[in-house]
Amino acid sequence: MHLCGKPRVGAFDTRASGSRQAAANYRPAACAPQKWNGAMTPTLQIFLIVSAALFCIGLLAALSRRHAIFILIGIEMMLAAANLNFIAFWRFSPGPHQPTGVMVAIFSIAISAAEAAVGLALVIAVYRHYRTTNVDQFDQLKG
Amino acid sequence: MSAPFVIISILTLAAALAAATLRKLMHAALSFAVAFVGLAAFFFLLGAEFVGLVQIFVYIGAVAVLIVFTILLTRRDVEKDRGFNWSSVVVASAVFGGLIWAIFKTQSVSVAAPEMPVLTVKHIGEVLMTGYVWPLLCVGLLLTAALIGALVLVMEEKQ
Amino acid sequence: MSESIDQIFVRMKQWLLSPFANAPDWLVQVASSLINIFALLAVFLTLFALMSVLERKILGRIQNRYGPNRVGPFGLFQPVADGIKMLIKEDIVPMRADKIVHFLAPVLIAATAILALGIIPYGRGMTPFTIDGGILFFFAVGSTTELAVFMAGWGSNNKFSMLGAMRAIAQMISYELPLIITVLPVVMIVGSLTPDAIVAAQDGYVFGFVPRWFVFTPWGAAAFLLFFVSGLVESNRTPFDVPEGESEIVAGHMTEYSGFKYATFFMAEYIGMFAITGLAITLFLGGWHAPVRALEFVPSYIWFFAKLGGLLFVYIWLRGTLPRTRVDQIMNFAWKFMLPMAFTCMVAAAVWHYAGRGLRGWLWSFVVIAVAYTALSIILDTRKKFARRTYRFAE
Repeated sequence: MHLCGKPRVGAFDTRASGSRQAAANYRPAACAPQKWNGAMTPTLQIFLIVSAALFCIGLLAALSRRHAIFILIGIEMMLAAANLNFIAFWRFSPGPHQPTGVMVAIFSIAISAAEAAVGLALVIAVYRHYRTTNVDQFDQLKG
Repeated sequence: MSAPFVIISILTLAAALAAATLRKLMHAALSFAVAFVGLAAFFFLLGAEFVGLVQIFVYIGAVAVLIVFTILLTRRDVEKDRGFNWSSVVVASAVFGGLIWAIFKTQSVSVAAPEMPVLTVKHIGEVLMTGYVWPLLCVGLLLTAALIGALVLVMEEKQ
Repeated sequence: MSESIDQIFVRMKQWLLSPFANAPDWLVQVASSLINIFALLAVFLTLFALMSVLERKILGRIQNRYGPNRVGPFGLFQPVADGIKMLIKEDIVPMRADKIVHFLAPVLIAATAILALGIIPYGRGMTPFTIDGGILFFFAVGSTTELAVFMAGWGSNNKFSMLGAMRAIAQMISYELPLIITVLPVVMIVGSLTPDAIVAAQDGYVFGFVPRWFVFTPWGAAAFLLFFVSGLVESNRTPFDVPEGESEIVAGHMTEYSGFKYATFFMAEYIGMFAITGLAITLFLGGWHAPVRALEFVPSYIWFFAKLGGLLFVYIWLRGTLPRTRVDQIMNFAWKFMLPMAFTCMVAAAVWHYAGRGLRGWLWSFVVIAVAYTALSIILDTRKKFARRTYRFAE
């Protein structure tokens, strides 16, 4: 995260009055374009490996847990790993001034929050009927 | 591999593993929240601070609280889960192996990060309101539908 | 001369950083952040100590008695005595409590409260951490408090704590919506989420003598009132201190904490109060700007802390004067009144902007807010509920 340099005296023009102009004149002080420093720069591969690991841990949670809520947690982790993938690809792409990856990630977070809410409501509704959250016992429709 | 990156990735993956395998439900839910803090730290590292802040706000402030409340509302004095079983570990490892193989096979992904001007919230706002205004309206509709749907699902039926 | 007093802390910090002039960039960054953090902690922990004794004295005066006046001149060293008492108390942890969660809860609450202090501009050029989405950072950190309150309630393995934690979280979540939506008009008008830009946009004077603070516009006044009330609720202060009401639920989620951990909860509540009040000053009261042109020689941080002191006095005044509200009254108020009024403020701000920001805009946005307020009062129809009281046992 870029914390923009040492605070200087008079980082913005306090004499300009008028709301819009004063706000438009405000520039973040001495914000250099972000670049990794040093020879040990993380490449895109490392980020993809981390997000693949997170995805597989989410898959593990979704497959091996018997409590309905934990399957949901696993699904949320898989979605978050996909978000990380999007942001990593956006950052390492040749055109990062277009915030496409960021947009997809923002919408994906909103959608996954909605899905988590509805999923948890479903778990509560099912619990009221079956009195258990163990998914092995939801078998009344089994043929 | 800069030091912050290594620390954040260890924290995130350890918390995610804890969330997937711990037997006490509350501990698993809370380490789920820690894993998302780590993920938000990744977003800050990659220069997308707005997404990181939205992630903390939505996932930890809302989704984690929802999950914790649901655990509370649906427990019956048996708080433990069975943990994990080995067949799912095999499946997850197989998927991981496949993904790693695909990542290492593509040569074009071992690139260094290009220089990028700082992504300000103002820029995100402008893009959201001009290019992405239809998805924004659809997400608003979707969230309203999810809200109403969740409420309807949980409402007690009148006898 | 007044500018050098104004910038005295900035100059001190640059002088402290001068040995690092040839160090690598990240070391300068780390040193600068550490100096900011120490200064912030020193100022706000002292303010917390001062406020805890001043609150008891002011409450005492409201109730026609002296507050603490034994320990030191006018009782001002009372926090030292309180601190020593808290530190030497035995730390009792329930046997079947979840030890890790029970320990981490006060740490997390205090940490999130102190984090929220970091983005507020305290003076000209005196913002500890300039983050581009500063307001969003504040709310993200504030929403983490709910999880920490839940951890406190659940980790104590006590039904009172759990119930208190659930009530506290329900209250905090309900009022987070009006809190955030009342911030939206300000962000809309300024066009930026950075607190420094919001303060810079409230510079200057209209008609030569009225400052351009947002509280002097109709939507800003309504939004400031709503934000202030939501801030009261978020910090669990009377009249909304249901989570810690002693006569009802012992101490809510803080029941099983003793000694230093309770002091941490106490400190976290007060620092949360400072953070919300600081944000209210930044957003609506012009930050560190002076109210009249003639007094602009007074340093900017003096103005900020004067405004902070004024708003904290109003908090203490409300605590001494108003009784506690019921939980269902709190919820009704949030969802049925404050949320529609917050949306109205947003519409009124847009009307103000598009009718020109002068007198015409002022009049039209005032009309919008007045119509909405009257309509809400009639729809919610609170008049009918005040029927004649009948006493069953006290005739």
